[in-house]
Amino acid sequence: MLDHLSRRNFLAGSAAFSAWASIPKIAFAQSGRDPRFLVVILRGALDGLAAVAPTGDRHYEEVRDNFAMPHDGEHAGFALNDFFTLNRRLPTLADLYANGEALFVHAIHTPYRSRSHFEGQDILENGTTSDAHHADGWLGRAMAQMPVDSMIARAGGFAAASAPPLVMRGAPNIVTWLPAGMPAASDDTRARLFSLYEHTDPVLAQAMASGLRLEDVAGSEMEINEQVNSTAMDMMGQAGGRGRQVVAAATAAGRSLAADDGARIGFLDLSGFDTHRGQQLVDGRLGRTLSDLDLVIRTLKHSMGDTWRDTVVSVVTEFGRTVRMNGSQGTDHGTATVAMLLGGAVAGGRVVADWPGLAPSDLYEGRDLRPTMDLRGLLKGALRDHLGLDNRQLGEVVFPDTMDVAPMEGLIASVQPRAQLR
Amino acid sequence: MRPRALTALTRFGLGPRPGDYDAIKADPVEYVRAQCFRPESALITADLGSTAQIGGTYRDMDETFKVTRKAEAAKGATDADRAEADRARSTRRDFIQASYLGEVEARFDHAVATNDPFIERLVLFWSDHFTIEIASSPVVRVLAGNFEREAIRPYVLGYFSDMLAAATTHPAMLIYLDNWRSVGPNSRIGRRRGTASVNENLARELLELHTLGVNGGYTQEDVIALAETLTGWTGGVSRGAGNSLFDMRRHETGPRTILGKTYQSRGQLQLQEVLPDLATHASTARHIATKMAKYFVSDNAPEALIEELTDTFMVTGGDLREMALVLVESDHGWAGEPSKTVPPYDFMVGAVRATNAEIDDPRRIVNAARALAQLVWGPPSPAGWPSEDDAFLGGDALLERIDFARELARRDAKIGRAQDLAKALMGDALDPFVAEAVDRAEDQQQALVLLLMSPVFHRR
Repeated sequence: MLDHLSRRNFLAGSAAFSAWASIPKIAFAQSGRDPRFLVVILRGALDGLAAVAPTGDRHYEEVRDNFAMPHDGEHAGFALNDFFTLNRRLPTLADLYANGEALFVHAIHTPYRSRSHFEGQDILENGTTSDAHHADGWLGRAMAQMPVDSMIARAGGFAAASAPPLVMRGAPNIVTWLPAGMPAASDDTRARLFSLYEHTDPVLAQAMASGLRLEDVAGSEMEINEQVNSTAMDMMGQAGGRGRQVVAAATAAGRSLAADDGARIGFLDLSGFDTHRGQQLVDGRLGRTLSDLDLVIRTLKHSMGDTWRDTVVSVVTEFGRTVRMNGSQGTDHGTATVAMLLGGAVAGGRVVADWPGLAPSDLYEGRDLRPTMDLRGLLKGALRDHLGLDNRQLGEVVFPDTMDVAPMEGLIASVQPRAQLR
Repeated sequence: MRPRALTALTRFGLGPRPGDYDAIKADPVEYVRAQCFRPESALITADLGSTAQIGGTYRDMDETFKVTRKAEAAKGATDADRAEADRARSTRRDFIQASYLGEVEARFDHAVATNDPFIERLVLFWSDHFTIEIASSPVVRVLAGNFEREAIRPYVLGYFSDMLAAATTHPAMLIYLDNWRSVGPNSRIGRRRGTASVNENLARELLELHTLGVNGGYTQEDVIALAETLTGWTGGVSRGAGNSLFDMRRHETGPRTILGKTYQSRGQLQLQEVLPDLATHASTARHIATKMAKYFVSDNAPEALIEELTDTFMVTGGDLREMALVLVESDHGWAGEPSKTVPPYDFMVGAVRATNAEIDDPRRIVNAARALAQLVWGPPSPAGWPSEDDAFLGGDALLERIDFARELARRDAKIGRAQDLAKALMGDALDPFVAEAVDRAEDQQQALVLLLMSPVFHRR
């Protein structure tokens, strides 16, 4: 792997932020909050039933069988209320929830009703009902609607990505940034490639198998390097090898949004949620990926300092997964799932759901969690009450032709009580 | 069996670009054949400096460095002396690094942009045949790209004897294989020193690797005689070796008998009489023919192909265009399953060609090539890079390639949808398993990684 040094340098807070230093300092008029808004996209389709499990549904244990969340033991989750339980791998989110800073909305979905990742992600990001729209995204259009003298319009957006992501396209001012170096590909990518080689090229399959065996014995370069550097990186904690990239991206986003004159809108994404195989709740692939999410949120909160109280992080995914497990201990592409609002500005400590049920007759097309809420309503509610967009802007521009989709009410905490708390 | 159009783009190319497959499908052989009549495609037109310019600049910097270092080390050296030496040291170092990076960037960009990738493959073959190693000395690092531009590229569709002469007498080769140190015992400098001796390194590799081949029928006496013929060829760049390519004061004069033929004492002209005979020797023909067939087709290339190449080499006096045409026009060249591993550098080029990516910093190319175990102009020995069918597949090589593909996918690639790209690259030859893997990927980035890691980009 390359350039470990530059990543360390970055974490020490050096060169990466010179771009921000060159932006003239802008004094903002403080009226209430100076809001920060981040979008975290979970690519691959998060299994909502594994992240926020409806343990109170009488069909839950039956549909999830051996993969249902246990009531006790080391794999038991965090009880959110008498119906929903949060996955063990999301302790930071559990703390936020206890502190009233996490809101989960279940059985929610975009208007997309097929099951292709690419189409689903396009619609999730572009905020329309067509996967053919690539000109701009809902977040970018929302930013473009802000008054020209607002902090959002002036300081723009920060995307931890190589190019402006679709969701943010259309915004007047976007800085993109990625941690340096070549990150190791995920186990999932490796597994898919190995399977491809098994069908197409035995020589490559054998070469890859021997490489994987070697890494098993020696540990990956990333792991070794991380051991060496672990003392320099408290935030890494128990994170795995790719946690380094995750931490770097979230730190970059958090610091830029926390700066007085930094971006106010942030974006980052995580992949690895397409858990067709080996989806153990805690120890399997999904568990590791959820840990990445937890790490991102923990890092964001840490790097944003006091500005966390002015922050809403929306965590969204393109669709959910099948209610029942498939034959390879995983789940396939589904429909409704869970979405999250996290941050000090969230009126949290609640799970919002119009629960459709898990009985066979309740399922969408007999297999998926039925959507009972529109993700656009959640996002509209957050954008309106946190960033100050009005219903017309939201219904005609940000999410075109959605005047009939009402913004969800009461998502954002009022400023005064929180200010007094601190 | 890989369709011929895809074979044209892989075995005889640097991987498909979007649209290539459909464009050449009607006549893949002609697509490759036509390239053989565009020798200018091999040339890098960017102004990177001639051998004399680069060598001269380096020599001056090196000289300044030497002088200041001496002053720095002398008794009573002042802070000013030390500062002067530091400045000279870093000037020289920066020039070495900048030269290398500039040449790597120009080479990589040329390979990515070329419409005649078969010609670039010929460049890579011949550049590897006349290997130099940047790690051997700073001056070789400085001149590595120039060596390829001036001694290899102009001749890949010309005559082998011309390439042999250009490569053998280029400063980079003369320094890499120690010929600049070689002093005839009876030369003017040799007599003055009294301890001078001939260095056989270049002569031996010239016979063993560049021309006749290890079993080509030469003897130790031939090696020594050729080494004596080579004395005086210093390259004119190394410190204390004179400023001209050939230094008569080091040359061992006298007639030399090489492979049974005697060459009269003619100073630097003696070598120019020897090389054409080596270049057109029957053993050289067989050696080159075998190497080309195995390099482009397979370790088990058909004997018939090797024989046809050997005959062509002999009949045409080593016309490399005719050699290339034999490869392309013979059915043997197209036969068989893809069995060669695409080397890491070629894969990097292919991945960038396929995705229209832009790697803006040449250091990333250098670092990635190192990570993938094929540092540009940094092979392990004068024999060049391994080229057996399964070369470069050991250890965690493929995992490193995945990481490169991922980095490219997330940072540099300029594509729309990976599924569309897959079709644009491989048309109706798109393997259904690859199509399915790309379709089912969890996001565009993963889809692109799987596409770039599919066999078309790694085997040919």
